[in-house]
Amino acid sequence: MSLSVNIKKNPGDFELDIAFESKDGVLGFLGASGSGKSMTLRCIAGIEKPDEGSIVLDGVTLFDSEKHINLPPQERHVGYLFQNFALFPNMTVRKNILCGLYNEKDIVKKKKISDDMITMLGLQDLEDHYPSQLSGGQQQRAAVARILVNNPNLLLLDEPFSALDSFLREQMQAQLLDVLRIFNKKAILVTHSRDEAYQLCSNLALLDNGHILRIGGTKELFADPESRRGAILTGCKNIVDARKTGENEVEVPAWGVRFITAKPVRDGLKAIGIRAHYFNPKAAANHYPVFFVEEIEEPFAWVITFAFSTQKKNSAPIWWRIPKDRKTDVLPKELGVAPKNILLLYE
Amino acid sequence: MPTLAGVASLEQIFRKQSSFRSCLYALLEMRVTLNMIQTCKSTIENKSLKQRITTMKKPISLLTAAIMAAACLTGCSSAGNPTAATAAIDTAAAAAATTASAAATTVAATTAEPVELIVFAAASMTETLNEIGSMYTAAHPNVTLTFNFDSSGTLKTQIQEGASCDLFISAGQKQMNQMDKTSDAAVNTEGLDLVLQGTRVNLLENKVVLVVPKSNPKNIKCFDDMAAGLNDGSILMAMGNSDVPVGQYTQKILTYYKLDEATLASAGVLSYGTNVKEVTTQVSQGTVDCGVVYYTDALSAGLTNVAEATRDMCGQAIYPAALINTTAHKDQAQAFLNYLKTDEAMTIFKNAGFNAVA
Amino acid sequence: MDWYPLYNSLRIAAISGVIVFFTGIFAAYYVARLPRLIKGVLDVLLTLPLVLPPTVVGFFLILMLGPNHPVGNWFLNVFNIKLVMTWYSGVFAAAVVSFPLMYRTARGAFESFDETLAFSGQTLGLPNTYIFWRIRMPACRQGILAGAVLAFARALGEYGATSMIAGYIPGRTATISTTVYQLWRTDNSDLAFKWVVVNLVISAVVLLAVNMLEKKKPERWSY
Repeated sequence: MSLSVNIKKNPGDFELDIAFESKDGVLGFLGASGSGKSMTLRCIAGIEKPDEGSIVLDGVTLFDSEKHINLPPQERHVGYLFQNFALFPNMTVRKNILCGLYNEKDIVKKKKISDDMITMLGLQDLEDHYPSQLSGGQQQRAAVARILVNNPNLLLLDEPFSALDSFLREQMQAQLLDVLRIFNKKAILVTHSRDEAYQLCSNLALLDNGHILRIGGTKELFADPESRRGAILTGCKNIVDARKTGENEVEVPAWGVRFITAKPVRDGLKAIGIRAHYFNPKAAANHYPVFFVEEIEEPFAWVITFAFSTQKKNSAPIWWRIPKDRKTDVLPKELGVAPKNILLLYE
Repeated sequence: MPTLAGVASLEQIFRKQSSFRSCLYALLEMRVTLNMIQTCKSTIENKSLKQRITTMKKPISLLTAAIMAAACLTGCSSAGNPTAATAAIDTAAAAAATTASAAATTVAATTAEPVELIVFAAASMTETLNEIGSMYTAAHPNVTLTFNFDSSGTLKTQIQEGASCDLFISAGQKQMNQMDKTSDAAVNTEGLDLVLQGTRVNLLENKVVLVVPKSNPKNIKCFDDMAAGLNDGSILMAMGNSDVPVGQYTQKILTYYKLDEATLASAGVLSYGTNVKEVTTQVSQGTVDCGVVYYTDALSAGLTNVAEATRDMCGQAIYPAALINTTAHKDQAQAFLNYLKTDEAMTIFKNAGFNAVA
Repeated sequence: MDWYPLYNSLRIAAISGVIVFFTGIFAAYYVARLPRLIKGVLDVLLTLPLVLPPTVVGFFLILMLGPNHPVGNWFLNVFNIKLVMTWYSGVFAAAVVSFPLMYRTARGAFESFDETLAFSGQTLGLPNTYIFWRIRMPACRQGILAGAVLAFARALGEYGATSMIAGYIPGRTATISTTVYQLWRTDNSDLAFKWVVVNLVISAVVLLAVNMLEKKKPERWSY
């Protein structure tokens, strides 16, 4: 499949300016609330209309402002899973799923497809229940079933797990992955959880304030976000202004230290980022004396905030996260970080 | 209790006069307000108004003296504005005299204590009585006339339910009979005794006429046409219901033509109005083919009248007038009633289409 | 006892109810989608009969439908149909005064409807009419039903405008309310009271029926 999106929309004082191309697999949209993720999905589905631009899916133009093409949602064959699942409350599960087969005229075929889907998603005993009688996970499975029987060309999933508790969430994430693989559906998944993005999405687009910061393979993006906003979105806790001092060296004025980096440093470096769990008392390079500020206990890890001895007085403390079983009673005198774990941020 | 008119006129005084006079009138106003409060209190405390007034006679005479003094002052200093002065005195007197109303005894009209007369009259007399009323109050400035115009049936009900009324002029004998103890029990079914014996007179005569809309679509030219049309169901006629005086006369006309009202009603050829205005409106709007109203109604609504009912058809349409026996102003009310019979008043009535009773 | 007023009142209220049901829903659905300025103006116009005294409404109706006025005149000349002083004039009056009740209640119901249900239906390929009648309306069922009942009750009890535009012609345009007034005015209070009781019984039956129809399903949050 190929999806090509290039749209602009200006509702009020928010500016949406999205342009990307996507091939197979699950594309993730990762961004903070209000960064335009849902609105982009709605534009692709046809529920909202961009001010200008074009959307082309598998060679079919869904929207083109210049050619005045704007297909209604019914004709786009784009499935949309809402955050609240949007099951029709006045219909049973079976009836809901049959709604997805509305355009299928053959009754026998209809029954077969819906029965198969119900079985596949484990909804066998729930067919005659109403949505209000289902649990969150069951509702989601019913909603997914309904979309899948509709056989869309593209699946849009709008924060599908945020309505579920964390235990259920992990289960459902695994299930969804299976389902997507079995049915070979291309999808765009909107999320604000980086764990979800990392787990489920082969490609990732980082959204900030209505435009895409970066788009690329998920692992590459996490390894090298290239921007401060991107680093924040991918969960980097320690971001600090820095400047290039050599081909593989950077200086952090606020910390009063210099680091050697594995990747070559380009001109125009603005900051560096170091993930909290990458600090290491046994690091061979980049180690400096530190003193500790505070210890915060998490269920399975310790977060210890510290500062380098040469750190400026008014600068923020640095976060270091270690699993509980690795913490020693006596805290180390020096901490370092491996050169390959230093994120070079250019924006 | 002072009427809204009285309070408003106080305001007028306050604004029109100079500061010295304003002070004087302000004092009056204070006095009046105090009187009002005391009257209220006494009513609540169940003392009779008369009792209350007797005890206040002294302050009232003082008050009257003050008004006289003020009147003189006004008369002296605003020589170039006599009408304003008279009006000021008028209104001041009316406003200040609210509590004195019950204490009036034999007082000559012109110099007398102020009086408010409440007259209930049939709606068909609205314009004429208003005109005659202003003529009367111009000549008798101490009298304030308050009119209540409505259908005679409604008025009778109101009086029966205890509304204050000094003089009642009905558009038909039925309503007056229903309140007169000397009437037949068959008519005065509730055995009411509200008419002040000896005051009842037949004041006016009205004619019953057949009216048609401007275009006269059914080409009705006389009562015979009307009867024929009702009989064969080809026309729709508006008439007052049995509670409306002219409706009662219409019933008589139907009987004269040997038409059964109930049959006509179920045939759907009769449109009933609860007062004469409904009938005239339906005819002038053209939503019915003809209607039966008084000549005066037809005149004031600008309707074409095509025929006049004869005495054989429905008798005479007499407007009786009488004082109500709960009146507290018997003499003033009688004086006004007498005025209504004078040539001066009759001219106004005749212009509207009424006649004196032959 | 002549039962025509009962038959007439019920007939008028039923017809008016049906008219107002569809026009009210139609208006509620489309007005919500208009740009703000037009929406505001239309909203005021469509709600006006609710706050105007019925006699004012009746006056305006005569001004339009009377035989001396544009619309009434045209109907009379072209179709030879009288628009006033007939039983169906009562339908005009009842429909106009009860329309705002249906309209506002339906508006409220539609505005509290979760639009994602409609969107989801669209992406599944369901036609818009299907979405309107099978998803939106059932979801707004309570509000729509309440509006319909209010409108029916208002139409049943209409007096002011009806009396002006339909008058009181026994056996033709008499309704329960105009009959009660006429009977009372012509010293027929006993019969008037009988009609009052009839009216009370009808209203009670209607409300009971509505309460029974509204079977509330147990609302449970997902667990």
